[in-house]
Amino acid sequence: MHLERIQLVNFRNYRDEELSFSPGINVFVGNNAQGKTNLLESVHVLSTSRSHRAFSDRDLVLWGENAFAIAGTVSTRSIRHQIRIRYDVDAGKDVEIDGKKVYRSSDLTQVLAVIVFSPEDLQVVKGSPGMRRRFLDSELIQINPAYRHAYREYTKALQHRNSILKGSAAAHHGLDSDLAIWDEQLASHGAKLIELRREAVQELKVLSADKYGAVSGGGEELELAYATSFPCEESSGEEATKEALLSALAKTRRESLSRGSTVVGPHRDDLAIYVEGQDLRSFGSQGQQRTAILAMKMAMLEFVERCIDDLPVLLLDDVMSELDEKRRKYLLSVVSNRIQTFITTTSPDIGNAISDSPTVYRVENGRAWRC
Amino acid sequence: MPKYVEPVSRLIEELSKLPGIGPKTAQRLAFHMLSSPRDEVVRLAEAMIDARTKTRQCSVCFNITVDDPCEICSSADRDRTTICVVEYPRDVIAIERTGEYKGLYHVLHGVLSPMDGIGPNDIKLRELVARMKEPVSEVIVATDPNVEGEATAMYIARIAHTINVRTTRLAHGLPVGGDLEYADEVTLSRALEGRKEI
Ligand SMILES: Nc1ncnc2c1ncn2[C@@H]1O[C@H](COP(=O)(O)OP(=O)(O)O)[C@@H](O)[C@H]1O
Ligand SMILES: [Mg+2]
Ligand SMILES: [Zn+2]
Repeated sequence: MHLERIQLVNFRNYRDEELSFSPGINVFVGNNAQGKTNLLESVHVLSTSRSHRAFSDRDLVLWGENAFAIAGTVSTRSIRHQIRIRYDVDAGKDVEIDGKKVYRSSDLTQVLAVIVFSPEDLQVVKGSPGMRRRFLDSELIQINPAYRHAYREYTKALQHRNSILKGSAAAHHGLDSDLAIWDEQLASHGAKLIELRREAVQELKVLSADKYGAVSGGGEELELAYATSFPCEESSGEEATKEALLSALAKTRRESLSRGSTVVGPHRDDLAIYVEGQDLRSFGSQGQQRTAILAMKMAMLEFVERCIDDLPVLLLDDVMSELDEKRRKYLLSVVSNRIQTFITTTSPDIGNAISDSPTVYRVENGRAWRC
Repeated sequence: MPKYVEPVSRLIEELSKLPGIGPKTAQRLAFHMLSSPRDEVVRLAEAMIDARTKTRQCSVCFNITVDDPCEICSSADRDRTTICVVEYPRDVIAIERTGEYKGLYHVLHGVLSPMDGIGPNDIKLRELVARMKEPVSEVIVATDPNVEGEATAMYIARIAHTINVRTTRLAHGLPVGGDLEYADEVTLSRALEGRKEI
């Protein structure tokens, strides 16, 4: 799939901009704070109805205005689609595909899927477990409605349980029975989440090992593993996972009470990353970490491609300058005019370094144009 | 900042307290009323006052009613040994539309939701437990199939077990994560038929 055209009205610092794109590589060159990331962000909103970096939709509206609109034309394998997203501070958000209202963001992702790769991702390997969970969650939520449902219900159940833990001290009478009904909800949605994450990690493991080898030139082996925050055997099935989580919740009840929050469950799980058996999360050189995240992102791209049976659009925000020659070359070889790619950079040299004759745009103070 | 004259700004202020109505919509509604025929607006105001003052909650099932007990609770044709537990009065309407169900109702007026500070004592659960102690053979829990609805159903089931009342739950056909209110009649009557023991 690729984005042919986009129109922005009162989105971030764009008052009214219309741009058409190449199905290959599009490079956006401009100084800092001109609107390069804003432009990629608008593509992300078109794909998911949400920003990947803003806290609220309100932040996306051009200052002093109270509504924004994004319209895009997307070409998929079979047909061309029109997506339209409107947000009004008062009336809320409104999403249309080909003139029909849609209510689930996964419908959008079927039409336009994106993978974002930005400098923050370079922290994923060494960063907090939350960052690694987000690496899995952000894509799975988009492409798998069952995952999105389990995620949403789990999150609510967790908030309810934590409210009870926080609020009710020991004085509360029915505390145990109150917690028990939420434990049950937590365990059943949590088990679903864990099973789906494990399935995804299983595929990503194979894909990223392959890509790690391609960047590093072989020799070293990358391995991913889903690490639960409680004892839970892999491949024993959803029902067994649910039982394991239930018993872990019961065992940690006292600790959770004293902390006022639930200490086990998929919201505390991690994605373990090893090279040659060594834990990259705490050891490993910067080079290994960068190669690992690059391999994982490219693996995710292929994983999403398999799920939606089409190629997602790749958004590379300021990462080219963070990668060395070897890794940049690898990234471009994956893209190789097959995947529509948006690259932002402050350095005009990046455009010149790409051999596949990219389309280059200049971005300046809320305006963008093709050079 | 310049303001509208007092009666208008007061109307806008009151309207914007309504759920789902922001200041802009409130303003639009207010001006719509100002430009409508006088008796149309009077009818609207009267309808609001009537609805609020002439109705109450049934003292048995807590559905909205004019007479107490309500029509369903006082009907001789209903099966008094079956109670269908729902979240809101709108759910009673939805199930009545199917024409399948002949038992009584119990409206909880909410679901358990600790993060909003709603516990068992904040909805009509104690009243339900009291009703379950009368001769009742089945309690059908028709709360929404989301996490709060499921937790509430489980809470009810646990109490029912201790007093030997059979509890069932609507199961088949309901869209996962959906609301009862939006289910069509066919889906809903199928869900009613396929209810499961919990
Ligand atoms: N809602 C908004 N309305 C107007 N301008 C905005 C809004 N949000 C951010 N900006 C401006 O956008 C610019 C940042 O754009 P960004 O795309 O992040 O820059 P870069 O080109 O460095 O990627 C800043 O000048 C900021 O003031
Ligand atoms: Mg930027
Ligand atoms: Zn009644």
